[in-house]
Amino acid sequence: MYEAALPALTIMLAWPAPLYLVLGTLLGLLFGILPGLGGPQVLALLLPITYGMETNLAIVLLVGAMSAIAFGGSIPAILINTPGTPQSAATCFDGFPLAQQGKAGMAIGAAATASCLGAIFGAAILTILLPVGRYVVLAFSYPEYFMLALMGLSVIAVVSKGSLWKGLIAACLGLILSTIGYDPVTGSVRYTFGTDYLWDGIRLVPAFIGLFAIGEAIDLFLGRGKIAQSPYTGKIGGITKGIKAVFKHFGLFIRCSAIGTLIGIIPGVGGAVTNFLAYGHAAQASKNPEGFGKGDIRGVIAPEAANDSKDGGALVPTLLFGIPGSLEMAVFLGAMIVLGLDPGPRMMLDRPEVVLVLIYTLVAGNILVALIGIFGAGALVKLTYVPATLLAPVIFALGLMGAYLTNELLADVIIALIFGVLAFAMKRFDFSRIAVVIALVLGGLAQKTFHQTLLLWGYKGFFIRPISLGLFIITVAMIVFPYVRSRLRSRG
Amino acid sequence: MSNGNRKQKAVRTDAILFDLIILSFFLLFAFISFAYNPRARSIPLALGILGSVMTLMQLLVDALPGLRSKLRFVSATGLLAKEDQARLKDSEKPDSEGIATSDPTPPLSARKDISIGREWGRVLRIVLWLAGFIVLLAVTHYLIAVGAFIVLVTRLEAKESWKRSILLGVCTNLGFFILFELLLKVQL
Repeated sequence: MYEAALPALTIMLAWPAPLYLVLGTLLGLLFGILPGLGGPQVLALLLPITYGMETNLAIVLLVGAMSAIAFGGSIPAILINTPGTPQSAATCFDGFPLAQQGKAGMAIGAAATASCLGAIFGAAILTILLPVGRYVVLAFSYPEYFMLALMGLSVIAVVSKGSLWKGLIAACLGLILSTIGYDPVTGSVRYTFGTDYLWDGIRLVPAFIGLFAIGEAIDLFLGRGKIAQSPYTGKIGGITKGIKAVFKHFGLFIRCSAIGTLIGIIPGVGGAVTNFLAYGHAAQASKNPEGFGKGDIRGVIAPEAANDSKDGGALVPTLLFGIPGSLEMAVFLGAMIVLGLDPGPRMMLDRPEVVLVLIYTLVAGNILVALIGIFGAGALVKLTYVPATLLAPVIFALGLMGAYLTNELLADVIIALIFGVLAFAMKRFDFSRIAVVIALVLGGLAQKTFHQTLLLWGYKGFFIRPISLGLFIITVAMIVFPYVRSRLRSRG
Repeated sequence: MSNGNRKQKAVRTDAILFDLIILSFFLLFAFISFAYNPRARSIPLALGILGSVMTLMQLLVDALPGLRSKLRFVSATGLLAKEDQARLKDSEKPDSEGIATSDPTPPLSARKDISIGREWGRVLRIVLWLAGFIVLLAVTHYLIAVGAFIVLVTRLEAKESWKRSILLGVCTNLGFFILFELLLKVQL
């Protein structure tokens, strides 16, 4: 893989890749700053735009956007106590008190530096771990891929913070939706209801646009009002102090980056947990924790380092196994499939330059967004005063137009609308949307490998190969464990 | 019946309705699968049956809360539920993806002055506006559809001023023109 390092760098630096990086980063920053919107939304909206684009450029645009989300969310968290994304929620605890004390610049500087260096840390771990893919390819066959898909779905349901049962129902729903269209083994056409459109199955782009952009915009529109309630009127100064603070607490930064990367690697856990874990660690490990919550700079460094390092970690299962590490990664995984890539062990062998472009973009995007954030935080936070009633209709129009753009089919727009309503209802009733997305993405692979295993080995094929059996046992254990735990708790 | 009880009952009703829709969907898919050859139907049939059984249990728990203690596994939460929720402050309630909704404007269902019926009525109106946009997209040029949609929705649904609505419509059209026609060069 490393032999592609220089060619990938050339691709990354060749025009118009830098332009796409800047565009993607700015869009990601915008979506990160606006509460209620985030990575999945920006990726879903960008997806149709990348259609037909050169693969590497599309990756630069998408990863550029993805890399800017986490720090983008921290700007309103620090300045107006409103996290732009759930990943930045813990940054509020000390970031906002610092801003109230007139040290907003210090908090922004520390957040930008910790985010940027955290992302580099995560990317470094990703680069070290990815070559393992070569060995995975040799060890994996159809049963392992099937079990991996099954495990990916179970993990998402099990580690969700909502109802486990509803998560599993959502996974079933996504899987059954993925059976629409051609059966990959028999060639039978299923559930088309007499329409030619469904012969190819549910298309991922309109489905993602519906699930994230339209569903979220409906929610935003119904909420009405301004996104942020309290304006920030202070000045932003003391940025250098914030930057220096990260190096002063470098040990904490490294530990929290490691926490972020590790949590990122575990599929489904995601950033909403990472920042709290890192914040908790910083407070617990501190000899003088009394300052936490009152404006301690360590309370900004810890969640920010973990926040951005987790992206590198989350890319490990996404690229290595084709199992998304987070919601953003689920949409990104779908995007890679739409772009004709084959995320999974083979990608490291077949398209190493794409993987490296992705890693470079992740690092470059984070550096860029840190610089933009440092110099433009005061102006950027004003974006949160845009009324949701003005923002939502634009997202509706952009989302539906994006769905139309991919194939110029009105049926795609209708699918986006149907999935939008479904997403709104699922959010309303606490059903996991991520399980549906992952099932839609992994459903085809699961079906194909299931039948291929049966053809080659019969049902015993799933259990006679050690890796497949191991994955099966882990999957069962993961599903059963929450129930055992709740039973033990109710007894104890 | 107190207002709180009425509201609780209303919340339950729409959840039950959603469960019923999902259940019907699974049953429909399981039923249709019999039309396919055994190998092609194996997975959708299994998923249809599994999904139906699981949704039926969810429906029972939602409709008859007394069953919750007997069907405890239906109410079990994911591994990270308690730990994370404890950490989150009141203002950041995680949804099913663990996404904390930090939006200070709560969902309508959480606002006491707006009933569940009105909430879904508004959702229906938004869906109708979106359906109207799709119809416009089919019969006119996309710039006309986008402009008309933005102006009408912001004016009539969001109750913004005509000036703001028209300004937003013009700006969005301009943005779309630059994005689709000039940058992406798509012939729509």
